[in-house]
Amino acid sequence: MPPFSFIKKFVKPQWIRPFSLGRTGKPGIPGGGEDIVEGKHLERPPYATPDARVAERALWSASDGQWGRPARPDSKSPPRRSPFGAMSHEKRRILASDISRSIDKNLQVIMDIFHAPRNAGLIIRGIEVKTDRGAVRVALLYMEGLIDGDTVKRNLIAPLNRLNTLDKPVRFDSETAFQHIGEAQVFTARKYSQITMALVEGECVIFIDGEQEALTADTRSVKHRQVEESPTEAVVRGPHEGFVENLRENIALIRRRLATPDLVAERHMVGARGHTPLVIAYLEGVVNPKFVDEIRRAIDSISADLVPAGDITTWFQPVKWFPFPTYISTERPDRVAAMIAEGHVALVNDSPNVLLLPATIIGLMNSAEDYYVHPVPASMLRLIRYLAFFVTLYSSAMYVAITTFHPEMLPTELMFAIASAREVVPFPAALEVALMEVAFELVREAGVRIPSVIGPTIGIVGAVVLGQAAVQASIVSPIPVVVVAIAGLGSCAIPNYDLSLFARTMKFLLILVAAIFGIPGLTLASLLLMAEILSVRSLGQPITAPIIPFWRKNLDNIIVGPVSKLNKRPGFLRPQEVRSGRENPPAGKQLSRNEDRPSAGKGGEGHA
Amino acid sequence: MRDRPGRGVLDHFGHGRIDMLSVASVLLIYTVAGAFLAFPTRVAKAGQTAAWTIPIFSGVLCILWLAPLVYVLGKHPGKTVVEVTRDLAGKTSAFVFGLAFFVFNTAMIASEARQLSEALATVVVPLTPITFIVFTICATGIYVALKGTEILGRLSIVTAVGTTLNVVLLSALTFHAWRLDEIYPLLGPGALDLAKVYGLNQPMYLELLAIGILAPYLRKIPDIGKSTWVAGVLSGVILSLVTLTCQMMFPYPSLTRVHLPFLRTIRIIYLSRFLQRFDVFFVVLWLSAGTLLVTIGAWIDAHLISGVTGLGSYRMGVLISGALVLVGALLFPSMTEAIVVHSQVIRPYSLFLMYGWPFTLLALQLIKEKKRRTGGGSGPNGHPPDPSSRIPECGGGRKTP
Repeated sequence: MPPFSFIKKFVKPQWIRPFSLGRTGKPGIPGGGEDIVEGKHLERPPYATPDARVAERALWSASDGQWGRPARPDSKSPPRRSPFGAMSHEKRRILASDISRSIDKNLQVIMDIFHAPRNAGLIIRGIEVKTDRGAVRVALLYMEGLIDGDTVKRNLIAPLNRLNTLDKPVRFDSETAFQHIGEAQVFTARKYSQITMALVEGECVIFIDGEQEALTADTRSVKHRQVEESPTEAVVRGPHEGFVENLRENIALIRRRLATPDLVAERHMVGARGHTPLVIAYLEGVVNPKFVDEIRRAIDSISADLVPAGDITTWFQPVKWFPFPTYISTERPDRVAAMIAEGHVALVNDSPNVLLLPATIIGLMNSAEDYYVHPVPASMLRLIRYLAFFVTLYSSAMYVAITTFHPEMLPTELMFAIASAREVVPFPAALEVALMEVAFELVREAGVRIPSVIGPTIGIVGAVVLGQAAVQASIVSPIPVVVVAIAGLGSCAIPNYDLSLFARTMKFLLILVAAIFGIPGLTLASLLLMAEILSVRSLGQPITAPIIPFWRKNLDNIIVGPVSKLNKRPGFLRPQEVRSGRENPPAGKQLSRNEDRPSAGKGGEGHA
Repeated sequence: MRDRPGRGVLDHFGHGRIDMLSVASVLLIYTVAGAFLAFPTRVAKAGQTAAWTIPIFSGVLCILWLAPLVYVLGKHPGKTVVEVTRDLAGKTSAFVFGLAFFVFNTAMIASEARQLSEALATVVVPLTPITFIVFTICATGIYVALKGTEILGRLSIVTAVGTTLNVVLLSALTFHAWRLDEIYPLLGPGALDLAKVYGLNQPMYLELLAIGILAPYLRKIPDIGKSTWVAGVLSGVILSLVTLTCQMMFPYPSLTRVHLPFLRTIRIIYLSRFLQRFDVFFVVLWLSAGTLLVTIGAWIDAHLISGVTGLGSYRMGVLISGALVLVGALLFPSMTEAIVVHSQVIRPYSLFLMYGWPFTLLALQLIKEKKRRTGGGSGPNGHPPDPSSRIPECGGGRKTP
């Protein structure tokens, strides 16, 4: 029986996901390809979450005083594709092989893998350590810029040098090295693939001459901005924290708001060559397991070489050409925590945007502030947001349709006013509106790209000056300026950026249809649009749920329900526990202590 | 939920099941979408001052003739009315009934699409040619039909809610101007004539036969009856409300009693201006309902084509049906011919289907059950009956569940 095998009882298999080497990685086929190392688990868990490592470390420290040698628990998780992408058979064979006892050979292999010395990024530092079996050569390897120099110096180099100053040489090998190294997270690695992964992830690798095991120490240096208010989801009331460009910090922000041991953070790596860390966060015992399985499958099917953190969203958009969002992207930890508690799944990575799945049209229209104010004004604000969506979509198109095809629908005075204003304009109403819409989008886009100091000024001045100048030059009449401005305001009032983009894009199509066929055309186009929206699904759930299909037990739909009545999770998500709060005492008690929780008094169900 | 024996529509069309609300909405939209065309005039002509009672009383009668169909469909879960007919009466009868329903359905949709297009061209887009309007409506209808049954159901819910609210709102907004004396005499043409009118106006609910095609898609078998009753009653109320509003607002046969027609004309002009401002909502919902009518018609036709010919392709059926509706709608020389053919040929002759089909199926089902109870004929799914069912000690003699 291997030592520390009891760890299996305490460490969940999903915490530490093994990976198998040399898979050919057929794009789009999860689990496709061929295993080189069949059924053999690797000692160093390359995809282990930091939490899992800490848990393992704590268990080891309590195990009869024996430090080091982290035994790798067996895992039943499915094998993954090679994280190294396509490679030659020879390289694959080398990566899958065990490291040598000779430090020189090991260094040569690693240098070959990293194309050193052409590749200047790989740093190798040699130290000679005095031990009970004489002087032993030790090599520290790391990638330039990825490690924290101070940490390496303080926790690795200084302790190793200290061994040389001891009066009585001590035992120093891979078994006992843990006792001498000051770094908290240290693992053993037996294969070149593990060492390669550790290096590219920013860890420091220690080779000891004569040992067939290397050590990997987490000395990563991650610089990111401080936690500050989300610029896109600012609220008047409620917490002002937003996610940052650091995965660990983002997970910690969620954990602080959802302090329960049931909050699981599964770590995955996406991208065949550039490994982007991605965490699936959910509440065990609440979430519908099918959602998590579906997300794992989607992640496995990502076949691109490099998936930048911000690009994760595009992989969860099943209908490629129809731009309706199938995920909720948010920068607010309180909102993420609340929706995880409801039974949603969060995808967290090194980006301030966290994805929530499955998405619903209600979730897309919600604002975090809805649950920090009284339900009646909150409902009014939410209705205004729905109105804003329709105003963005239809106001310009309706103007074109009415002025071009149906002037009789207007009151006589207004009809004459429009006619007299348009008298000097040489363009048809459709072109007039299209010009103004394009100008508005230009101003908006320019406001985003130019430096933030003059950005808002450009936005306001550009809109006013452009509009006024266009009217004075008789390019457009004053009314389209008002109409386009209202549509622009409407798009800003939509709380979800993706939904706002959808409305802004579709608006141009509707203007075109209105110019061709008036209100009947708009009606038919709306029918098609509605059919498309109704057929959009997010993780298999209709995006329009719980309105259509109607789920009558959910009070919190178009209007904001009273907090005291929101004691059930959304049934259409098929959560494992429908009721929250009293029936789930441990989670409920922990949640009730969290003062920043978005919906105090609702037990485990948070809404935001 | 009982499992569906044998091969049915779900197998070769691959659509999901829908709930009762969706089915009721599909039936409701299918029945009332044409109510804003020539329907009020036709009903007012038949029922005079009691015209508004026709949809309600006819609706009650309609529930009676639909009861046998609902009963038979409940006994054959997962099968369309054509498949049930094939099981009970053989292939030839299924072919005859299926083909008749297909012809009536296509002709009805074609004429209503033409009426809708003509009305749009007259009132909203006078410069647009009819061909373009018919084509866009049919193209949209086909596209939506190709999205499948679930989307059809959901879209019907949205449109049904909008249409119902719109009808109620329009009636409420004009209520201050209603001339309530228009409903006198209460019995219109007289009690006897009115009773005849109630019976003869059954074809206004021909569309409810669509439950025969929708039944296999229902999640729960008992909902077949529920959704039919709900759709029937709601249709009756909406059609009555539309008729009553028109009767109270505009000149109908009862207008012959008015002595000052000039003043009536002024009133119409005033109200028309009011409606002109308001009709933007009305046109949108009306056109949506009309387009969905074409969609549902194409959906039903696709199933009928499949049932009659054995063609297992839903998309092909929808495209064939859409093409037939487009050609049919353009065959009518004008709106007048479309109205005449619709109200004097298609609707009256559909009585053959409405009364003939459900009651024939009921009779055949009862005969089959009687034979099964007495031991004759074949057992369920074509197997010989279990001999133990005739032995009292083994529980024989009782009705099988």
